[in-house]
Parts: sequence; C-alpha cells; structure tokens
Amino acid sequence: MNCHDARAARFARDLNSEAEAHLAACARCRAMSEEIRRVGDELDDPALWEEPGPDADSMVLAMLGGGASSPASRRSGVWWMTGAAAAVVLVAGIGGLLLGQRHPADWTAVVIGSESAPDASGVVRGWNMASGTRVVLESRGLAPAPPGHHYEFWFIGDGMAFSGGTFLDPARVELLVAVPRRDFPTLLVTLEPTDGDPTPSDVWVLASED
Amino acid sequence: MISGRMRRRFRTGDPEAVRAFYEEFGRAVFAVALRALGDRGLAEEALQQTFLRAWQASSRFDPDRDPGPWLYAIARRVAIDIHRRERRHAAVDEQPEIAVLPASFESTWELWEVRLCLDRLPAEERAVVRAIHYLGLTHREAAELLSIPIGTVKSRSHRAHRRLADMLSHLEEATA
Repeated sequence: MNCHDARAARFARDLNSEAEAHLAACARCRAMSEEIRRVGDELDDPALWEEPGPDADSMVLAMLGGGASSPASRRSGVWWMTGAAAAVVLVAGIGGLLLGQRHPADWTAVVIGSESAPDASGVVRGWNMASGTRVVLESRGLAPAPPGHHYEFWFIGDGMAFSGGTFLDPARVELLVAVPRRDFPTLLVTLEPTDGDPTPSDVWVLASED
Repeated sequence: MISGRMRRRFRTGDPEAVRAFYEEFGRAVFAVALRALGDRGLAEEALQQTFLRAWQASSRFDPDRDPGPWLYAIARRVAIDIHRRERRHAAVDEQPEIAVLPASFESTWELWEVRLCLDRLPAEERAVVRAIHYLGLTHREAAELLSIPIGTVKSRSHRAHRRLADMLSHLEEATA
C-alpha cells in the first residue's frame, strides 16, 4: 500500500488494518496527518456539497455577457418626457448610503454597451424600498467621464425618464432613486454634457435588455 | 481545467472565457461563501460579486498563472466585505465592531481545493462520493439509491477517493 491508497481509504472512511498501519508508520503521511484529517472532514461538510440556486446561476451567466444583444436599435433620440419635478435623488460614492443593505438584491438587471461604448457592460442591483429604490451599478469597459461631461443613470418607462443621479466614475456607483422600479422597466446610462439640460442626451452608453 | 488559451481570452474579458471560469470555479466560490457566511442568500450574492469583480479585474489577471488562487482571494475578500457589512448593520450602537473574523472563515482554502477536486471527478464517481459523504449512506444504501450493484459502488468509491488523494497531493508540497 502506498501513501495515496492509504489516504484514499481514510477519505472513504474505509480504513483497513493495512491502511492504518501505513498512515501510522509512513513519515510523509504522519507529517500530513492534520491535512489528511481536515480534507476528510471537509468531505462530510454539507457546505461542500451545496449548489447555488438556478436563479443565481442564470443571473451570473447573464451578467457575464452570455447572449446579450446590442441596444443600438433603441438609440432613436429623445422620445420621452423627463420626469416632472425630477425624482429626489441622492448619490453616494463607494461605501456610502447603501452600506446598510442587508439582503440580496430584490432585482438584478444586466446592462450592455451601445454603439458608442460597444465594449462596456455591467449589472444593476436594486432594493425596493417604501421611499423608492436603492441601486448599485457596477460596470466595466467605461472610462471615467471626460472633462465637461458626466454619466447619468435613468429609470425609463412609458415615455417617462427619471434621473437616478450623475457620477463621473461608472465602475461602481450607488444611488438612491425616489421612485419605484416597477413602473420603469428600462435602465439607461447616458454620457451627458454639463449643460444643465434635464433630458437624457443621445449618447447612450449602457442600457438594459428588453 | 482552464487552458492557457482560455486564460488569455479571459484576460481580454471574452464572455465565453468568463463563462468557462464560472463553470470551473463557480461551485467552489459558492462553497467558500456559504461556509464563511452561513447563509444561502448572502452566499449567492457573494458568488455574483466575486465574478463581477473578477470580470472587472480581468485585464490585470496574469494568464500564465493558475487562476484558482486569484479567484479564491477575490471570493474570500468579497465574503469578508459582506460579513462586515452585515455586522455593521446588526451591531448595537454601544457595542464596538469586532475586527476578528469568525471561525467560519478558517480552512476555506481546503474547502476550495476539495470542491474543485470533486468537480473534476467523473459524474458517476462524484455521485457515489456524494451519497456516502453528503447523504451519509452506506455502500448498500448508495447502491439502492443509484440503482447500481454494490460492487460498482465500492469500485467507484475507491477510484474516486484515490483520485481525490492524487489531486490533493499538492497539499503535501505546501505543507513540507
């Protein structure tokens, strides 16, 4: 019997006298006795065998870019009315407002790059609240906004667009939007000139899938 | 196992390569997060966060190195961040936050390694190992569950545990 056979017997909880004798006598196995025991214990730990739920699988795979289509066809100019009296919006940087979020997101949406940012993509997680929606946008493939510009996050639905706040670095941003998501199925990130215009610009960089 | 070609594609953020990484390492990430956090919902959040961070950091990934330790480090960091967030939220104002991580964060490297080895076993051997360790069945009970002869259970169990011993032999080098 060699080391691997003896350890295999230990892992299988099928120790015979020969395997026990080897593990006791072999210097290499004795030096490894703690690791052998721990690996054997790991095999019996339920956490080792649990699987993520199918929703988690599909969400991660969608987030990682599987099968996303370009939203370029939706780039048809300003076809909406901006939300009257714009939502009361608070914007926080990393580590800001949402540190208190305790639970997995209520919803998650994939956003993909438009023609103006074909390499960009991201994921938006949201927490529904009585006073609106907490949002975390995380993206890749987008540089910080150039001078004289900023990014702006929008909730869009039924011809209405509510700003979710402006930011310069889109890698990770946390927002608090004072409207519920349910009435605004489309999520959009635009690159805006700093011109005071309250409507979304034509430069879409990220949009959710239909 | 992730090929060198797929590692290089991952570095460019190629979606197919990122999916391959998820298929190879996703279960191990989830296992580490579940052990550390003790909550399925938080573990699933950690799973998403880990691959999001890995994806965002893919341009900094070294394709000449084993991606396992790199992803494990991200997964553990994400679990720590979620744990601390949960503690902050639950903490009573008068009680200072405890900086020490709980025992559930210990030994997650072994868990990671064992889970990766399990995922690399042939499916029929993994099913036998699962029946024995996770379900706690005897060989005879496992044979009934899997509708195979008891002799097949024993041989598959032997082969599977031998493969695990082989795959985990690098722990010996790490210990030496």
